[in-house]
Parts: sequence; C-alpha cells; structure tokens
Amino acid sequence: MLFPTLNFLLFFLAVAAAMVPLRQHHEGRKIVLLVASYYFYAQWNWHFCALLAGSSCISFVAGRAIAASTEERYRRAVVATAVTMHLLLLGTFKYCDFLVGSANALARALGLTHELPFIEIILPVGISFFTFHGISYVVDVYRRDVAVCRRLTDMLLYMAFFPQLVAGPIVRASFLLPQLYAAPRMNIAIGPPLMLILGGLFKKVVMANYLATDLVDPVFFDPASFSTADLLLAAYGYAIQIYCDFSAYSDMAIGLAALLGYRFPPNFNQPYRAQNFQDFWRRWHISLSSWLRDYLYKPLGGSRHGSLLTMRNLLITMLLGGIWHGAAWKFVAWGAMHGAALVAERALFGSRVPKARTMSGRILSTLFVFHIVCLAWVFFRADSFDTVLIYLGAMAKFTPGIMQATPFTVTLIALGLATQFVPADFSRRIARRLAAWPSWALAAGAGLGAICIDALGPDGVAPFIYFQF
Amino acid sequence: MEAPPLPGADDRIIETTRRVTPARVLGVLAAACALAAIFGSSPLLAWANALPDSQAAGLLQAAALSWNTAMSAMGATRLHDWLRAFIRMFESFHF
Repeated sequence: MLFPTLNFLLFFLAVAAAMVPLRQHHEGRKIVLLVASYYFYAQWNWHFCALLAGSSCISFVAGRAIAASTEERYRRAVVATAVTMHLLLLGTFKYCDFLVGSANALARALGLTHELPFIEIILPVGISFFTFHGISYVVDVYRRDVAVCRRLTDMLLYMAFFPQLVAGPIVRASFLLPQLYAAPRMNIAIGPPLMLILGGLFKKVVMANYLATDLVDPVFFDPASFSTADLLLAAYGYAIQIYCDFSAYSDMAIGLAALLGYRFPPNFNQPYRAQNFQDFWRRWHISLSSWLRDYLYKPLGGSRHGSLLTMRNLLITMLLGGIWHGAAWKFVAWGAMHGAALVAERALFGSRVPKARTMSGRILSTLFVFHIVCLAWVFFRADSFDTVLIYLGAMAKFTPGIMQATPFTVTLIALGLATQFVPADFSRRIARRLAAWPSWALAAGAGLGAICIDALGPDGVAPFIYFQF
Repeated sequence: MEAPPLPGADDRIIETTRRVTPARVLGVLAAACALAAIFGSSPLLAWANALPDSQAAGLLQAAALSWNTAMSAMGATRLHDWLRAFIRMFESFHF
C-alpha cells in the first residue's frame, strides 16, 4: 500500500476516524495504531508480520533484561546478544544470497568447482529500517537514554508504526517511545502536516516519477546509446529523482505522524547545497547518518584516538552505511566513495572543514561536492560495475547531441535544484501563513492540490526507491 | 560526523502553528476528499475499474461511472483534463 494511492487514503481516513472517539483513551489509540500498522505491513506480505513481531520481541525481552540488572558485564552481554540476533535476521534475509554469490565468484576465480546453493529468500519490506529501530531501542535502554518498555504493545508499535515502517525516517527509541509512554497532545497542528504531505506528493508523483520514466531509466538501461549531454543530465536527473523520491516519503511520513499527534525527526535539509561532504551528511538522510554516527562511528572510537584511527572509523562507517542500502558491491563502492571523500576532507582540513569566504569559493565548493555526489549516484543507480564503466566511458567520448533529455526533464532538474537554494526558513514562512487559514480553506487547498498533482503526474505510481532497502 | 544534525525545518513548522482536535482533522480530511472526488472523478473511476472483480467492486464501478458522467456534465473535470493535457504537451517537446 503506497502512500500516493487512493487505497492508502481510505486506510488513513479509517485510522483518523478511529482516533476521534479515542481522544481521551491513550491506550486504546495505541492498540488501534498497532492493529492498523500490522494491517498496513500485511498488505505487502502478511507472512513477514511474524518476523516484525519476532524482531520486536527480541528488543523487548533484551530491554527488560538490561533494565533489570545493574551488573555491567551482564548488561553488555545482553546488548551484544540482542544486536547479534537483529543482525543475524537482517543478514539472513538481506545478505545471505549476496554472500553466497560472492563466495561462489571467489571460488570460481580460485579454480574451485564446488558452488554453494542460493537460498532465494524474498526480502521483507523495511527490514533494514525496523532492524535499526530494534537495535536503537536496546542500545538506548543500555545507555539509559530511554525508559524501558513495560508493555509489549508499546514495543510492537514503536517498531511497526506505519508512517515510518517501510522507509523511515529511522526514529530512535529515545525520540518516539517517550511519546508512546505519555499521552500525546491531542491538539494537532494541521496546516504544516498537510503542506508536507502535498509537497511530498508533488515531489514523488510529478518530479521523481517523470525523471525516472522520461530520462533516468532509459539512459541507465543502455548508456552506450546516448550522448554525453544525455548521460550528464541523467546523472543530474537521478540525483534529483532519488532526493525527490526519498525526501517525499520522509515528508509524508512526518506529516502523517503529525496528523495522528506524533512527532518524527527531520530527514533532509537541502542536501545539494552542501559545501563539503561532512555538511552533505548532515543534510542527507539525517536519521541514518546520525544513527551511524551514534551507534557505529562513536562506539568504534569516533575521533578520539588520533587521525589515522578516525579515518579508519569514517571509512568503516561509510562502507557499512553503503552496504546497509543493499546487498551488492555497487553499494559498497558508493559507501567507499563517500568514505574516501570524508577521509580526504579530514586529512586536508581536520575535524572542522572551513567554509569558503567568498561567493565564488562557495559556488565552486558546492559544485564540486554536487558532482562527486552525482558520480557516486551513478554507481548507486547502475545495475552493475560493467554498466558504470560503459556509462563513464560513453560520457568520456563527448558524443554530441541530445536524444533523451527534453525541455520538460531539464525543467524538472532545474526545479529540483532550485528547491535546494531557497532560504532555509522558506517552508516555515509558508507554514506561518497557513496557520492563519481557516479549516475550510485548508480542506479546499488540500483537495484541489491533490487533484492537481494527480493530473500532473504520469499514470500509475512507481514504488519508492528506498522500499528495496 | 561529530556535530548533531541540524534542527529540521519540518519539525519546527509543526511546532509553531495552532492546533485542532482529531475530529477537526478528520473533518478537514473528509472535506478535502469530497472536493477531490468532485474535481477528480476520472481518477476515481480509474481506481474503481482497477479493483479486483467482486460484487462490491461491480457496484462501486457503476457508482463511479455515474458520478464521473455527472461531474463531466457539470464541467467539474475540466481542471483535471486541462492540467493533464498541458503536462502531456510539455512532455512531448524536444530539443
């Protein structure tokens, strides 16, 4: 059940209607949200509801065990066991066949004839996200950043809450669970969530979908057939497509949760205006980068043990961040490129990368970071390393002409880039204006806005890119 | 990677606006849907036609068809049709 569909709208209306009589019944609201979340997840594959519940139970039991003990060694052992179990589940479902394939390739290279069989398991939607939620809870309880869950239903809801279940943002236990423990505010700000949802719909339905079907997919399918300008524009186009696709999901998730009375952390902040790679990772997929920082980079030692170890930790973090996205070497390469860029910055400038003082310096550094990010996106989007080599080789031939890009797709790219450079408080200013609108005007704006977006979009809705992760 | 993430604009704007009850939220959503059903009767019909075959789906399809016919006769579908035609025209331009 995708967000930009009528099926989801009907589902959400039913959930919103159920919230009305339960305004004063906090526990009842949570039960309704839990049932709705499992129904939402079951729409993909109901068999995996058991996996989601099992994963939640691992964290719940581990949390209780950690909270019940004061002995540090025991608490650590429980954390290690729970994290290992979560990672084993993730590894089994997501990485098993990748590891088998890689082992078989290595065996062939070594001249061995025996090959391991593939397991061919279906990847459960959202497993990377709910695994990180589960780990976050256990570690947060261990660090005493969040009170332990006394009710299993709270844990089940934290892991399964439908707005963030399948593609984030990664909401930490210390952020969402206190909202579940305490009765939430039942006075809901309605204008900004509607604005986020409509903005997300536009980014996904119009911008991401057209860029995919009209430019990016055809060019990446057969890059050798296209001109240099097409290849360059397709790389830019994919940068905008993946931003619009993923930030749209995050915006809609934040907006939907807000309509139900819950807050989610932000996930994007105009990433392509970043002037260095450290800055980029504070703006792109913020919930993942901050998760990796706090649950991987810092436990590895962070920047506390000298330059060399800091660089090693950065590289490990980005490599694992890359493979978190998918079981393929291309994601490892993508992570390695970002890791190498962060390491190079660290080697050149230390922990604080200075910002350019002049306008031309700022423009040049932004352009430089954007183009390296686009190069990394080529690895991320291409089907294989062979495709990457063909893509970059074709680009270097400087073939003239434009075959695939059109004024329409170039306009979408320009519009996507323009959104990166509007003033940072632009959305807040609009929200302030919306706050003055009466409810009937908000309803009219939302209804007409949704119809206009539907009319502008292509037929059908493609799944979100991050669903595959 | 040491600095905390920037405070999000999304979160800030939700924090700074006036608030309504869940009943009002439902009312606004229902009103928005009603308006969308008037001006977007053709996507409603397309959605109904894509439903798996069943007695209820048949009834819904018949209702959606009647509704779309009525809305077209009133001219309510013009906005949707015009925007779709405009974007298709823009999409067809080439360098």
